[in-house]
Amino acid sequence: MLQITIASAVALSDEQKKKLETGMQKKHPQEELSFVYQLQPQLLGGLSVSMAGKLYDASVRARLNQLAAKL
Amino acid sequence: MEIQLTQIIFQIINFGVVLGALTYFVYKPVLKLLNDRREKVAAAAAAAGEVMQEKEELERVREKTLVKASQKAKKIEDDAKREAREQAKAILDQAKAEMTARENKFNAELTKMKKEELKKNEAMIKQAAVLMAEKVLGQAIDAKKHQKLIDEQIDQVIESL
Amino acid sequence: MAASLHVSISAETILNFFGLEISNSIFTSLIVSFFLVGFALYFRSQFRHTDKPSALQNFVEMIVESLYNFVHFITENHKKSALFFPIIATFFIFIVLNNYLGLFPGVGYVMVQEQHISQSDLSTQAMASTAPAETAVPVTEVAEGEHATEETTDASVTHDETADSGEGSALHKAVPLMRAATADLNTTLALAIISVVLTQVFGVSHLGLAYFKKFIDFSSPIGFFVGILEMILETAKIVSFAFRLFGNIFAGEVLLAVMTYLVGVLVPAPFYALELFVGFIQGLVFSMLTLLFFNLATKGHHEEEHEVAQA
Repeated sequence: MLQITIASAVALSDEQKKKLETGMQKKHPQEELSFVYQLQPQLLGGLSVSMAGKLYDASVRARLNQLAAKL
Repeated sequence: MEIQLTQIIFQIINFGVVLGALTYFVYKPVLKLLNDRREKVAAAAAAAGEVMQEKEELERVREKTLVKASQKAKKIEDDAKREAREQAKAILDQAKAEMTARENKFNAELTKMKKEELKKNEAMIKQAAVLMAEKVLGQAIDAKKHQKLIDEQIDQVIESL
Repeated sequence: MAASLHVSISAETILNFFGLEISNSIFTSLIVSFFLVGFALYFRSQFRHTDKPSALQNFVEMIVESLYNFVHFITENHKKSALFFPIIATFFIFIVLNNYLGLFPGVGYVMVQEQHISQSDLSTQAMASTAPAETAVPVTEVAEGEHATEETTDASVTHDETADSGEGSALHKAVPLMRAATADLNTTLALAIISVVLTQVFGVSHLGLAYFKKFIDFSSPIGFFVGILEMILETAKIVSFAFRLFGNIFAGEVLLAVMTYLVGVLVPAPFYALELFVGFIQGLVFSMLTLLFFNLATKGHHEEEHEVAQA
């Protein structure tokens, strides 16, 4: 079973959740996916999704960090 | 005019007696005294002359020694001066070197500190900038934009993960 | 009574001493001699061999030293100086003192009775007015007030006045008690003889018999002649010494006596000073000439010619 953690600044709507879950399931049909939704205002916006060690952080904060690092 | 032999003879004897008396009682002692005195004076003068010569000799020796001594003294003085000067110079140089080293160290530290400060400042500015951006963003992103963002990203997420 | 002028060329007798006549000049000279001998004895007793002499000794030293240097200046030879000095010094002192004693106040004025030799005494009366006594030969006596008859200087002078007074007894004349010894020819002759004789003696003692080669020179006729002249010269020296001294002093005496007699005491005063000067000079001259002749005689004959030529 794979856990997917989804962190966001604001709560996702149900539609969004559905979309996401469906999409992921389609990508990993064999797996049993578990979705955990976290509310993290400090992300400021966007999503930060981690799954089995892989992370896809598209949050605004992440981008800010990147910016900060470039400075 | 009358010339009497007896009288002449008498006067001759008379003179003879006076001559004898004066010679024996006056001339001999006085001349001896004068002679002795002259010899004493000559001896004294000779002795004085000798003393003068010795004195001159001593003077010359003294002069020579004095000159030598003063030469030595001068040499010592010069050596000492030279040494002192050299030492002073060495000390001075050392001091200068130290000073320069310290200065450099100081400058280096200063520069380091400045850099660090700068970096800190940079860091702070960055932080401040990010914080500002955060704040701004936090406030600028309203609910609609949030949803929009999320929507966009969902697809990407699905794609990447 | 005015003083009388008394001038006499020869000395007069004042005392008869066991047949010896003592003239007034001999008397004076004896005074000087006694004084000098006495002084010598006194000096001897006072003499100290020291560098701080008494005033008297200092004075004597001064005189002796000056005279010795004077002698030495001429001889330039210590041996000769030591030999000549006593004689020269004594000549000088003796003559000057005698000269000065003649100038002493009272000398020539204090009078005594003249004494004659016993010879003339015995035959007084006979000889009194004609043959003058030996010691009273040429007497010029000018007596003021007394009618001075013949003022003559002839040998056979008269003694008219005196013959008047003491007839039958010895001639009495007032003569001076004292008279400068050097104003007596006897004295000066004595001194001159001593000087010249000593010159010859010294010559012989220093040069041996060669000294007489001065007088006896057979090398050439002219030499011989010169030798004779030298002999005459020596005798002439005696005469010259004697008369020089005698003439100066005696003439001085006469000068002073006449001046004082004529003019009083003040005017002759400068002449008195002159006589002091003359007395000193004559003593010096006598001594110096004697010294020169001594020195000449003791030098070699060859040098003498140069010296004589210079003199």
